[in-house]
Amino acid sequence: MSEDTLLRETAAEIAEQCRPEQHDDCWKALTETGFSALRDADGDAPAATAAQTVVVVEEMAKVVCGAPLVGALLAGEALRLAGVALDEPLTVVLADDLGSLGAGLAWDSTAVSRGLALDQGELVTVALGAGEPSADLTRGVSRVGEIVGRCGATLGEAEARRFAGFARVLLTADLLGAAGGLFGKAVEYAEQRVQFGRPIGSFQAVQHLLARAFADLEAMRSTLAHAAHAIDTGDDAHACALVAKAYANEAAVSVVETAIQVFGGVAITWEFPAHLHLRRVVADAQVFGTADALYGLLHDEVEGVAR
Amino acid sequence: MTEDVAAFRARFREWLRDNVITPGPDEPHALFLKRWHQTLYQGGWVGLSWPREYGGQELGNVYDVVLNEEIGASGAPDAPRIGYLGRALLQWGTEEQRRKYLPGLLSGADYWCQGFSEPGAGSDLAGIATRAVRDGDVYRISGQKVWTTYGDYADYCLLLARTGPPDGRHKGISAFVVPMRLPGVEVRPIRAITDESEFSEIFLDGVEVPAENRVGAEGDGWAIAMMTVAYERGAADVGYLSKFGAALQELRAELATSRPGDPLVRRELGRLEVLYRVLGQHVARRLRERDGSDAPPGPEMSVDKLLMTQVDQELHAGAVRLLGPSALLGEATSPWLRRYLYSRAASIYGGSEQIQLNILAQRVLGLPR
Repeated sequence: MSEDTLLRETAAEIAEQCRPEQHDDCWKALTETGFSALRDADGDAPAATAAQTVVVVEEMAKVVCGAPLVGALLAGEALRLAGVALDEPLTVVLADDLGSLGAGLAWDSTAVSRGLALDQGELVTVALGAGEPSADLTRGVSRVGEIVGRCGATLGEAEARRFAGFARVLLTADLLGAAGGLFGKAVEYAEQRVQFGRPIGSFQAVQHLLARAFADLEAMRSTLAHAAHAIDTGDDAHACALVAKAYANEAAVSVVETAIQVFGGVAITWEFPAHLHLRRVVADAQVFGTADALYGLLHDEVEGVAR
Repeated sequence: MTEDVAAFRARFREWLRDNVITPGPDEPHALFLKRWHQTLYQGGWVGLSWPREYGGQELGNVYDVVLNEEIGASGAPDAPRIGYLGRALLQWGTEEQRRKYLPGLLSGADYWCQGFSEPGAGSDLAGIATRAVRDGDVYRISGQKVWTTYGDYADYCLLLARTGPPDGRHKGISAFVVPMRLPGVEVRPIRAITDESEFSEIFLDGVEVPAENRVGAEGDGWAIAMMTVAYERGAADVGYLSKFGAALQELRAELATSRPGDPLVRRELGRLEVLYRVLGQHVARRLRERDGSDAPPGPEMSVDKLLMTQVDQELHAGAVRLLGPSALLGEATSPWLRRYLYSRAASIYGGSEQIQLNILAQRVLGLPR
């Protein structure tokens, strides 16, 4: 079995045990397997490639796990890029518009008590307050408390750019996982749910909804693989990450909306998990760049690098 | 040793700078494309992934993507669309047929067209009625084909005809190489909504085709057609990736002059760039997968067709919207309007959008019929 297959299967096993609003067990498993530290420094390089890391993120997102995996991976990435090593579980603190690292709101903060923030450009660790209510019921956000540690390091322009690219790629993996997880269940449901004496999946109107959503997922998968590879090789990584997240922002929401349409009324209830997926992708689409913001950035990138 | 992709890209880009051709004053587009095909071939840029023994270079499929990308970025004419027809001969043809036809197909000496669709069989290709009746060592073929690209310039047609009973559906269809100069073949160009005649109808009236021109056995026609259309749904296999790249480049340049600094233009061009790159990255993934496998493309290629259609239609509708009156006034069919009108065909040809969705739902997702 290849290393990547093993990664995917191990992550899938952890995801299988995930229980709604019970993230401590997942978090324990993710730290024990070293998955939360895949981007920490291991010698000169991160412990795992971006291509491997997105596999783990995607698998956990399929069940919209709320353990702070993405936050921890981003904190590890920022610290490694800044050349700092800290041995404590951290998530990231984002700017108020959620578009970059900052000092506004701790993001993905379930089960951790410290966040990595920017204070006048310097990386600092901050204490996290109680969780705040937000649209995404799976992934926690918290107010930021006192600064508890100073790293004495900054992210230079090049590092900040690399960090932003990596963050967009992880968010793309989260969007793909959250959308793909619900889509798979919607296909199964369409095969079993009978109306008018036939499985609803035999109706062409329903088939076309699902087929189009499948094409969206495949396109997301292609751009994610491409962008993760670009992060690993450094070749055109920033633009590839813009493309992947801009596309996934819109496609993932559309796929989840389609799945909800296929489930019908049951998906509009609080008990059914569909809304958790919808909330997750709608929230993800705001973090590290909305589609509109990313379109603009990509255009600038293309204009700036005329052949 | 194989030249790496970056070096190949640089070498091709440099070659393009010196060798791009422009159409002559009254040169029909089909002949211009043929001349461009031959120019590319002489430069050593055609048939990159094809076996050496038939004029190819046995490079990985990824080189075809690079070729498409660079042609697109340079604004050169479309990459030749040879791949999908040639694959049928490569996989199903006899050694004699491969030796006879493939070199001319690759070099651009011979122009090939496709005789699949009929007035009564478009998306439902299994409904074709053109008949081929065996008579000694010839087949007599009678019927009508439609939507044949540049049929009036073609030397050969890869044609589907029924050798089995009339109601046999996908069983009893066979494939033939029909030389277009044979007696009984008549081509009538169709004047399309673009006011151009890229497509034509072919009428066949008792055309005597040597039995040795049959590709595969009697009844193999359906499998040959399905493989051909699967290739046809790949954006690099038909050279469309290069076409879209060039159009986007051109649009960006026009809008930089006519609407500089407009935030709506910035957003929309960014969005179109995303769609274009998503297609390119998806195609690259497909070709990487194809490099690692002997299996021909299958129903998953309908994803590619949907993405290709999306880029085609969004890009050209977007261009007309953003360019405004300048795309609509001055002549009945301006270049951008022509491209927009033509883009409406993208969700119809090669299996309509709805057929692609059926294929994905039933054959990839496994939903019940």
